[in-house]
Amino acid sequence: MVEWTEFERATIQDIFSKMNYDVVGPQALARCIIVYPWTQRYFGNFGNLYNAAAIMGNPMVAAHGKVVLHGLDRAVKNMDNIKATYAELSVLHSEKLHVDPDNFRLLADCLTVVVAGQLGSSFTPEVQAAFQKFIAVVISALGRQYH
Amino acid sequence: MVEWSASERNTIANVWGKINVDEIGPQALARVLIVYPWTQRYFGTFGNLSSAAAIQGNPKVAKHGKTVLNALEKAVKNLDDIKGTYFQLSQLHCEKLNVDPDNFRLLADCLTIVIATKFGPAFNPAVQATWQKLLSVVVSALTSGYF
Repeated sequence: MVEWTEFERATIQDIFSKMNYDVVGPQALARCIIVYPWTQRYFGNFGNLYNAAAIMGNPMVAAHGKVVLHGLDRAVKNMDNIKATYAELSVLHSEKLHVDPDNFRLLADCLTVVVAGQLGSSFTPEVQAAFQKFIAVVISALGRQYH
Repeated sequence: MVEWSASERNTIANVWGKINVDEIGPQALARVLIVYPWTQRYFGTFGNLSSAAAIQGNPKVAKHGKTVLNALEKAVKNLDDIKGTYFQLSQLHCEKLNVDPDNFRLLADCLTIVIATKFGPAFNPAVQATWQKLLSVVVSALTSGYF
Protein backbone atom coordinates (compact mmCIF):
# COMPACT_ATOMS: atom_id res chain seq x y z
CA MET A 1 0.00 0.00 0.00
CA VAL A 2 1.23 3.48 -0.78
CA GLU A 3 2.25 5.55 2.24
CA TRP A 4 1.25 9.20 2.26
CA THR A 5 2.67 11.81 4.62
CA GLU A 6 0.38 14.44 6.15
CA PHE A 7 1.95 17.03 3.87
CA GLU A 8 1.23 14.92 0.80
CA ARG A 9 -2.39 14.30 1.78
CA ALA A 10 -2.98 17.96 2.58
CA THR A 11 -1.31 19.07 -0.66
CA ILE A 12 -3.41 16.79 -2.84
CA GLN A 13 -6.67 17.76 -1.12
CA ASP A 14 -5.72 21.42 -1.38
CA ILE A 15 -4.86 21.34 -5.07
CA PHE A 16 -8.03 19.51 -6.05
CA SER A 17 -10.36 21.47 -3.80
CA LYS A 18 -9.21 24.68 -5.47
CA MET A 19 -9.15 23.29 -8.97
CA ASN A 20 -11.53 24.57 -11.58
CA TYR A 21 -12.30 21.25 -13.25
CA ASP A 22 -14.11 22.88 -16.14
CA VAL A 23 -10.96 24.76 -17.10
CA VAL A 24 -8.16 22.39 -16.13
CA GLY A 25 -9.65 19.22 -17.60
CA PRO A 26 -10.20 20.60 -21.11
CA GLN A 27 -6.81 22.33 -21.09
CA ALA A 28 -4.92 19.21 -20.07
CA LEU A 29 -6.59 17.04 -22.70
CA ALA A 30 -6.21 19.70 -25.41
CA ARG A 31 -2.49 20.03 -24.62
CA CYS A 32 -2.06 16.28 -24.75
CA ILE A 33 -3.63 16.14 -28.21
CA ILE A 34 -1.61 19.15 -29.42
CA VAL A 35 1.79 18.31 -27.94
CA TYR A 36 1.55 14.56 -28.66
CA PRO A 37 -0.46 14.50 -31.90
CA TRP A 38 -0.53 10.70 -32.23
CA THR A 39 -2.98 10.65 -29.34
CA GLN A 40 -5.61 11.98 -31.77
CA ARG A 41 -6.07 8.41 -32.94
CA TYR A 42 -8.19 7.81 -29.83
CA PHE A 43 -10.59 10.59 -30.71
CA GLY A 44 -11.57 9.80 -34.28
CA ASN A 45 -15.18 10.84 -33.74
CA PHE A 46 -14.36 14.18 -32.11
CA GLY A 47 -14.57 16.20 -35.30
CA ASN A 48 -12.09 18.94 -36.10
CA LEU A 49 -8.67 18.33 -34.48
CA TYR A 50 -6.81 19.86 -37.36
CA ASN A 51 -4.72 22.43 -35.51
CA ALA A 52 -4.13 23.83 -32.03
CA ALA A 53 -6.90 26.41 -32.35
CA ALA A 54 -9.41 23.79 -33.52
CA ILE A 55 -8.47 21.44 -30.69
CA MET A 56 -8.73 24.15 -28.07
CA GLY A 57 -12.16 25.19 -29.36
CA ASN A 58 -13.47 21.66 -29.82
CA PRO A 59 -16.48 21.06 -27.53
CA MET A 60 -16.04 17.27 -27.48
CA VAL A 61 -12.45 17.68 -26.31
CA ALA A 62 -13.64 20.04 -23.59
CA ALA A 63 -16.43 17.70 -22.47
CA HIS A 64 -14.12 14.72 -22.38
CA GLY A 65 -11.43 16.67 -20.54
CA LYS A 66 -13.91 17.32 -17.74
CA VAL A 67 -14.90 13.64 -17.62
CA VAL A 68 -11.27 12.57 -17.27
CA LEU A 69 -10.48 15.09 -14.58
CA HIS A 70 -13.55 14.19 -12.55
CA GLY A 71 -12.34 10.60 -12.81
CA LEU A 72 -9.30 11.71 -10.79
CA ASP A 73 -11.64 12.67 -7.95
CA ARG A 74 -12.03 9.05 -7.01
CA ALA A 75 -8.32 8.80 -6.30
CA VAL A 76 -8.36 12.08 -4.37
CA LYS A 77 -11.14 10.69 -2.16
CA ASN A 78 -9.58 7.22 -1.80
CA MET A 79 -5.87 7.86 -1.51
CA ASP A 80 -5.41 4.74 0.60
CA ASN A 81 -6.80 2.44 -2.04
CA ILE A 82 -6.20 3.92 -5.44
CA LYS A 83 -5.44 0.54 -6.98
CA ALA A 84 -8.85 -0.94 -6.18
CA THR A 85 -10.59 2.34 -6.94
CA TYR A 86 -9.39 2.20 -10.54
CA ALA A 87 -9.68 -1.55 -11.21
CA GLU A 88 -12.78 -1.15 -13.38
CA LEU A 89 -11.48 1.91 -15.23
CA SER A 90 -8.27 0.02 -15.91
CA VAL A 91 -10.19 -2.87 -17.45
CA LEU A 92 -12.24 -0.40 -19.51
CA HIS A 93 -9.13 1.36 -20.86
CA SER A 94 -7.37 -1.86 -21.72
CA GLU A 95 -10.12 -4.14 -22.98
CA LYS A 96 -12.66 -1.77 -24.44
CA LEU A 97 -10.84 1.45 -25.33
CA HIS A 98 -7.49 -0.18 -26.18
CA VAL A 99 -5.48 2.77 -24.88
CA ASP A 100 -1.71 2.30 -24.82
CA PRO A 101 -0.87 2.85 -21.13
CA ASP A 102 2.08 5.09 -22.07
CA ASN A 103 -0.54 7.69 -22.86
CA PHE A 104 -1.56 7.96 -19.23
CA ARG A 105 1.85 9.46 -18.54
CA LEU A 106 1.52 11.93 -21.42
CA LEU A 107 -1.84 13.18 -20.16
CA ALA A 108 -0.47 13.30 -16.61
CA ASP A 109 2.48 15.42 -17.78
CA CYS A 110 0.13 17.86 -19.50
CA LEU A 111 -2.04 18.03 -16.39
CA THR A 112 1.06 18.84 -14.34
CA VAL A 113 1.99 21.63 -16.75
CA VAL A 114 -1.53 23.12 -16.54
CA VAL A 115 -1.57 22.95 -12.73
CA ALA A 116 1.92 24.51 -12.63
CA GLY A 117 0.74 27.32 -14.89
CA GLN A 118 -2.27 27.98 -12.68
CA LEU A 119 -0.51 27.81 -9.31
CA GLY A 120 2.62 29.67 -10.40
CA SER A 121 5.11 30.07 -7.59
CA SER A 122 2.92 28.17 -5.13
CA PHE A 123 3.63 25.04 -7.20
CA THR A 124 6.80 24.67 -5.19
CA PRO A 125 9.20 21.73 -5.61
CA GLU A 126 7.67 20.02 -2.55
CA VAL A 127 4.16 20.46 -3.92
CA GLN A 128 5.34 19.23 -7.33
CA ALA A 129 6.85 16.12 -5.74
CA ALA A 130 3.60 15.31 -3.90
CA PHE A 131 1.50 15.92 -7.01
CA GLN A 132 3.72 13.79 -9.24
CA LYS A 133 3.72 10.98 -6.68
CA PHE A 134 -0.07 11.03 -6.62
CA ILE A 135 -0.22 10.99 -10.43
CA ALA A 136 2.32 8.15 -10.62
CA VAL A 137 0.15 6.04 -8.30
CA VAL A 138 -2.92 6.78 -10.43
CA ILE A 139 -1.06 5.81 -13.60
CA SER A 140 0.15 2.62 -12.03
CA ALA A 141 -3.39 1.72 -10.93
CA LEU A 142 -4.81 2.45 -14.39
CA GLY A 143 -2.18 0.23 -15.97
CA ARG A 144 -2.70 -2.60 -13.54
CA GLN A 145 -5.32 -4.66 -15.33
CA TYR A 146 -3.51 -4.66 -18.66
CA HIS A 147 -1.50 -7.81 -18.00
CA MET B 1 17.82 17.37 -39.86
CA VAL B 2 15.07 18.75 -37.69
CA GLU B 3 12.72 21.16 -39.46
CA TRP B 4 11.69 24.31 -37.63
CA SER B 5 8.88 26.52 -38.90
CA ALA B 6 9.25 30.30 -38.73
CA SER B 7 6.66 30.33 -35.99
CA GLU B 8 8.58 27.75 -33.94
CA ARG B 9 11.82 29.71 -34.34
CA ASN B 10 10.04 32.85 -33.15
CA THR B 11 8.47 31.09 -30.20
CA ILE B 12 11.78 29.65 -29.07
CA ALA B 13 13.59 33.00 -29.38
CA ASN B 14 10.73 34.64 -27.52
CA VAL B 15 10.64 32.17 -24.63
CA TRP B 16 14.42 32.14 -24.33
CA GLY B 17 14.51 35.94 -24.33
CA LYS B 18 12.22 36.03 -21.32
CA ILE B 19 14.04 33.40 -19.29
CA ASN B 20 16.33 34.50 -16.50
CA VAL B 21 18.96 31.77 -16.72
CA ASP B 22 20.34 32.51 -13.27
CA GLU B 23 16.90 31.99 -11.76
CA ILE B 24 15.41 29.21 -13.88
CA GLY B 25 18.50 26.99 -14.05
CA PRO B 26 18.84 26.55 -10.28
CA GLN B 27 15.09 26.01 -9.87
CA ALA B 28 14.92 23.31 -12.53
CA LEU B 29 17.90 21.40 -11.15
CA ALA B 30 16.63 21.69 -7.57
CA ARG B 31 13.28 20.24 -8.64
CA VAL B 32 14.97 17.28 -10.31
CA LEU B 33 16.86 16.50 -7.10
CA ILE B 34 13.71 16.87 -5.01
CA VAL B 35 11.12 15.19 -7.23
CA TYR B 36 13.42 12.39 -8.46
CA PRO B 37 15.67 11.83 -5.44
CA TRP B 38 17.77 9.07 -7.02
CA THR B 39 19.36 11.75 -9.19
CA GLN B 40 21.23 12.91 -6.10
CA ARG B 41 23.68 10.08 -6.76
CA TYR B 42 25.29 12.28 -9.42
CA PHE B 43 25.98 15.07 -6.96
CA GLY B 44 27.81 13.32 -4.14
CA THR B 45 30.22 16.24 -3.76
CA PHE B 46 27.52 18.87 -3.44
CA GLY B 47 27.15 18.72 0.32
CA ASN B 48 23.78 18.97 2.01
CA LEU B 49 20.96 17.57 -0.13
CA SER B 50 19.08 16.10 2.82
CA SER B 51 15.80 18.00 2.39
CA ALA B 52 13.92 20.14 -0.13
CA ALA B 53 14.92 23.26 1.79
CA ALA B 54 18.58 22.20 1.86
CA ILE B 55 18.56 21.50 -1.87
CA GLN B 56 16.91 24.80 -2.71
CA GLY B 57 19.44 26.69 -0.59
CA ASN B 58 22.47 24.74 -1.76
CA PRO B 59 24.92 27.04 -3.59
CA LYS B 60 26.51 24.21 -5.60
CA VAL B 61 23.09 23.20 -6.90
CA ALA B 62 22.40 26.80 -7.87
CA LYS B 63 25.75 27.16 -9.62
CA HIS B 64 25.36 23.94 -11.51
CA GLY B 65 21.80 24.81 -12.49
CA LYS B 66 23.11 27.98 -14.15
CA THR B 67 25.83 26.00 -15.96
CA VAL B 68 23.30 23.56 -17.37
CA LEU B 69 20.83 26.18 -18.48
CA ASN B 70 23.53 28.31 -20.07
CA ALA B 71 24.45 25.26 -22.12
CA LEU B 72 20.88 25.16 -23.44
CA GLU B 73 21.59 28.47 -25.14
CA LYS B 74 23.83 26.63 -27.60
CA ALA B 75 20.77 24.81 -28.90
CA VAL B 76 18.65 27.97 -29.05
CA LYS B 77 21.34 29.67 -31.14
CA ASN B 78 22.02 26.62 -33.36
CA LEU B 79 18.60 25.19 -34.05
CA ASP B 80 19.75 23.78 -37.38
CA ASP B 81 22.51 21.64 -35.94
CA ILE B 82 21.68 20.74 -32.38
CA LYS B 83 23.15 17.28 -32.80
CA GLY B 84 26.54 18.60 -33.90
CA THR B 85 26.43 21.30 -31.25
CA TYR B 86 26.05 18.79 -28.42
CA PHE B 87 28.27 16.01 -29.66
CA GLN B 88 31.11 16.72 -27.24
CA LEU B 89 28.76 17.32 -24.31
CA SER B 90 27.10 14.00 -25.13
CA GLN B 91 30.42 12.17 -24.98
CA LEU B 92 31.28 13.94 -21.73
CA HIS B 93 28.00 12.88 -20.10
CA CYS B 94 28.37 9.31 -21.27
CA GLU B 95 32.07 8.52 -20.94
CA LYS B 96 33.19 10.77 -18.12
CA LEU B 97 30.09 11.57 -16.05
CA ASN B 98 28.33 8.23 -16.63
CA VAL B 99 24.87 9.84 -16.59
CA ASP B 100 21.96 7.56 -17.43
CA PRO B 101 20.36 9.36 -20.41
CA ASP B 102 16.87 8.85 -18.96
CA ASN B 103 17.81 11.65 -16.59
CA PHE B 104 17.96 14.19 -19.42
CA ARG B 105 14.21 13.78 -19.85
CA LEU B 106 13.64 14.31 -16.12
CA LEU B 107 15.54 17.59 -16.19
CA ALA B 108 13.70 18.63 -19.37
CA ASP B 109 10.37 17.93 -17.65
CA CYS B 110 11.31 19.98 -14.59
CA LEU B 111 12.51 22.82 -16.79
CA THR B 112 9.16 22.80 -18.60
CA ILE B 113 7.32 22.93 -15.28
CA VAL B 114 9.40 25.85 -13.98
CA ILE B 115 8.65 27.75 -17.18
CA ALA B 116 4.95 26.94 -16.84
CA THR B 117 4.93 28.33 -13.28
CA LYS B 118 6.63 31.52 -14.46
CA PHE B 119 4.72 32.15 -17.67
CA GLY B 120 1.24 31.04 -16.57
CA PRO B 121 -1.29 31.25 -19.41
CA ALA B 122 1.36 32.66 -21.79
CA PHE B 123 2.77 29.13 -21.85
CA ASN B 124 -0.15 28.11 -24.01
CA PRO B 125 -0.47 24.72 -25.75
CA ALA B 126 1.20 25.87 -28.99
CA VAL B 127 4.14 27.34 -27.06
CA GLN B 128 4.34 24.19 -24.94
CA ALA B 129 4.42 22.00 -28.04
CA THR B 130 7.28 24.01 -29.57
CA TRP B 131 9.22 24.14 -26.32
CA GLN B 132 8.88 20.38 -25.75
CA LYS B 133 9.98 19.77 -29.33
CA LEU B 134 13.15 21.78 -28.66
CA LEU B 135 13.85 19.89 -25.44
CA SER B 136 13.27 16.50 -27.03
CA VAL B 137 15.72 17.38 -29.83
CA VAL B 138 18.24 18.46 -27.18
CA VAL B 139 17.69 15.25 -25.18
CA SER B 140 18.11 13.21 -28.34
CA ALA B 141 21.33 15.05 -29.22
CA LEU B 142 22.74 14.54 -25.73
CA THR B 143 21.94 10.84 -26.00
CA SER B 144 23.36 10.46 -29.51
CA GLY B 145 26.98 10.15 -28.37
CA TYR B 146 26.14 7.19 -26.16
CA PHE B 147 25.89 4.52 -28.82
